[in-house]
Amino acid sequence: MEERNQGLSGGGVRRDTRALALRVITFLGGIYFFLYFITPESIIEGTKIKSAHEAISNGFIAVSSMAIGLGVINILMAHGSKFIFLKRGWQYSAALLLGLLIMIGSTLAHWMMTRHSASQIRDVQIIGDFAARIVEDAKLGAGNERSFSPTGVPELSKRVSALESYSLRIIEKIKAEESRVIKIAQGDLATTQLIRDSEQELLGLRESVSTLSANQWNTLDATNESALAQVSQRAAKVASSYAILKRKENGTKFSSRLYDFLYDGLFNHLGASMFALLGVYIAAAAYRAFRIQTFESGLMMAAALVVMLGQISFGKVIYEDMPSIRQWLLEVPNSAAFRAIRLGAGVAGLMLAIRMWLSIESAKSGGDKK
Amino acid sequence: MILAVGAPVFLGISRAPSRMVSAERMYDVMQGVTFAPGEVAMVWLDFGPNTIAENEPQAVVIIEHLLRRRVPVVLLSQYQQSERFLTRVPQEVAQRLEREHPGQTWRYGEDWINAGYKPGAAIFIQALVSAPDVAKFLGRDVTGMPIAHFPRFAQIGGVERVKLVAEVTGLVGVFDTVVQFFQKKGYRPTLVHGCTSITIPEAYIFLDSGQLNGLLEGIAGAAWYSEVLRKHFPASDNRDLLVTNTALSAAHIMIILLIALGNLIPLLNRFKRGRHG
Amino acid sequence: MDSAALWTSGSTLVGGIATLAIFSFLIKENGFYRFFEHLFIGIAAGLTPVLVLRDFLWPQIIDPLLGSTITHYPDGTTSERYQPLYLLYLIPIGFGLLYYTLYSRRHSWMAKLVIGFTLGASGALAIRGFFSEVIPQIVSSCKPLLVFESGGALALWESVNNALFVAILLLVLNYFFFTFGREGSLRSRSANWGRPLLMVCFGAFFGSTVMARLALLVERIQFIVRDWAVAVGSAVGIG
Repeated sequence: MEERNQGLSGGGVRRDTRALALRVITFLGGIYFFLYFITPESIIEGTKIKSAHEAISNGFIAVSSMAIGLGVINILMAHGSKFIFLKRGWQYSAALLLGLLIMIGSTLAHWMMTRHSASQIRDVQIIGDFAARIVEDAKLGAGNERSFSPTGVPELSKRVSALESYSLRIIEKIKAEESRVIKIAQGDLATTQLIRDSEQELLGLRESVSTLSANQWNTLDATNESALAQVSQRAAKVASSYAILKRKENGTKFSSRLYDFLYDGLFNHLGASMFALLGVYIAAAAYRAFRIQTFESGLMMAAALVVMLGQISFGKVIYEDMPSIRQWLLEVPNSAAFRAIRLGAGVAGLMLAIRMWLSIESAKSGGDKK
Repeated sequence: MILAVGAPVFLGISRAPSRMVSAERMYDVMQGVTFAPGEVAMVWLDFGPNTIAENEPQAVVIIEHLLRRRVPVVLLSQYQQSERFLTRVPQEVAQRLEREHPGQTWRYGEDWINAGYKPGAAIFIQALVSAPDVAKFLGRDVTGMPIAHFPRFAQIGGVERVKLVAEVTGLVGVFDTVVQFFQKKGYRPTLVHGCTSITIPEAYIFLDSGQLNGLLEGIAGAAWYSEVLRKHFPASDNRDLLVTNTALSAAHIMIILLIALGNLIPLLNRFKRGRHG
Repeated sequence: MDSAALWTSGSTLVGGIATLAIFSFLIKENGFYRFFEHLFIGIAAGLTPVLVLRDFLWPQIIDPLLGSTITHYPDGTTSERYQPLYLLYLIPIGFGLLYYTLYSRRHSWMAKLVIGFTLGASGALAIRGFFSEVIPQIVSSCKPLLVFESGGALALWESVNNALFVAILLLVLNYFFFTFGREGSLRSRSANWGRPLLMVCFGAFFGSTVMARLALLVERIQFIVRDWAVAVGSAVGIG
């Protein structure tokens, strides 16, 4: 009672304090973008704002993205309770929950599968990246390397040795997957050719890696640089072919098939069908409701008739220039009228946006009641 | 109605589509954009099953044209329900092109990449336009690979190197967001749009102002565009689309007849009542 | 039939059944329709959260936060140092979690802060969006009323079109302008012209809408007659 008398509620915070906090937060939400847009480019570039703009924008998107759980929680609360307590229509709630859980599960499984594949492909790409990085760091000189290590970047020979052992390990791993990969070809000539090409590329990479130990790695001379560059190029090719084969293999897995089935077999067809019902209602309304009773409705129907006849194959049968008349109608009278509507709506939208940003829109946010 | 629509489909009847001037102009616009090495086209597929009938054929013809020209394409979406189309549409187009040109390949990672669903609408687009390195900003593709690791897409650099932007959508507000935010001082890409028929009148005002450079008007636009493509690439197969367009034309005639009947019959009844007192 | 073809067939068959279930609503609302309707809602609701996590939150926020974007080379070095500034992402994550205070009666007012923040950002962006979109529209509305060809002759058709465009634009704008009274004035008479011109615009909208709605129906019928019927035929061994 005492809290209510003092205008307190919700965790002991006064109502007017809450309203003030809401106004301030709403204003702060918009002030960054507003200032970013009105500030001249030269001033923005002079500060660190431009380099941080991507991260700041991502932060804004992250705030609204955190709402992803709300829909799922609400559905689980509303339909979950119906299902658990077997209320009227519980069977339909069960269907909804089934669809929800299967879709979440299948999308997550599909994601995990692609993440795992991406990680395997990345392991192969690291060979090429590392070879290129060794060259780059050697050119930059000790102490200026781009690579980072808390204990300091190792010397050139140790890095090359690490590259060699890592590459050979990855090559063996890819070779061990060969038999599984051949199965996915399933008689497809293009895939079979791709597998043959990737085998050749793998052999080429092994050859390049094996020659590394034949060189002296005290310094990075032209021969050494060329050897590392060859490893880098061949590794990139192997990674590219490996990625293609991995994607093909992923397409044959159960999680992928299930995801495609749910999306193509159910979601797309159900969604399209729901909206296709409108086509039937248009036909029913065409006979029952579209009555020409005034000059203006007649004008509207005439314009509709021109547009409809101008966009169908049979329009030209009725009148040769029907498409051109339709084009003129859309380019001149329609565009002019619609632009006027848009300008008016645009100004109204601008006013609403300003009122919303400055919280002068509603009484609850402290705006005047007018 | 079902008979009128089903007959062309069942019998495979296809008539030449109505000439759509905007689709012709869009072909010339898309053909006229030059792409230097490292420059890309960005195709937004922002449609779901509710507008699949009109937007999917548009996406197919746009992507087909770009893949035929060997233009690197970055596919992405602001709408989560488009997710599957970002994967399926270019794959199907590539397979069709490979059947048409045995010996040639169109590959994911070389000819196109799928950057996936990008939430944030206007916030995302304005950040993309400000980013000094678009590939780094987009981060990873939908398979989890860093986009910077695909050679043809790693060198994009700033958004000025996105020469063409195609937006295929039926959603209200999505196209407006691209028009409003996909630009900056000294840069505006060539923008083409595949719209559903409902938003055709709205799209024309942008064509008039020059904010939009090309427009595909619903299925009819996609059908005519496919005919233009077939004129330049005779092996291109657009029969399915023409059958759909013909069935749609038949449905239109039915609607016009129904409207006519709906107005004539009450008129006749009133006339009869008048005659009999 | 190989595995891929089996899944494709299954997908088509189920898709056809789902389509017919939805279309059964035209006869009467029934349990078959409601089952698939609820299934659709569940699938649609399940898609969004995972996609936001997969395509944005994880790669753009969580991976940099955890340092997963850094490559670890075989010699123990890394491609770059960890940037502690990424820890600042915890602020928007924490702030965004206030959405879930909606479920607490005592603290639900905090959810309004997040909603207000998002609305504020949208409002500010809309201000910029207005100028980016509308200014070129206004500029292009200022069309020359007399257009001359390169040889100096009057291009009559373009001139008439431009004059018509400007006239229609002004008349329709006038129709919506209520700030000043218009009784018994030129504005009143000219406002009467705005309405029929708007009807032409709405007629174009209607004509286009018919195509949009019918396209959906045509696509569904095409699927049933062409794809589903063939899949059913294959399944029962016909053809």
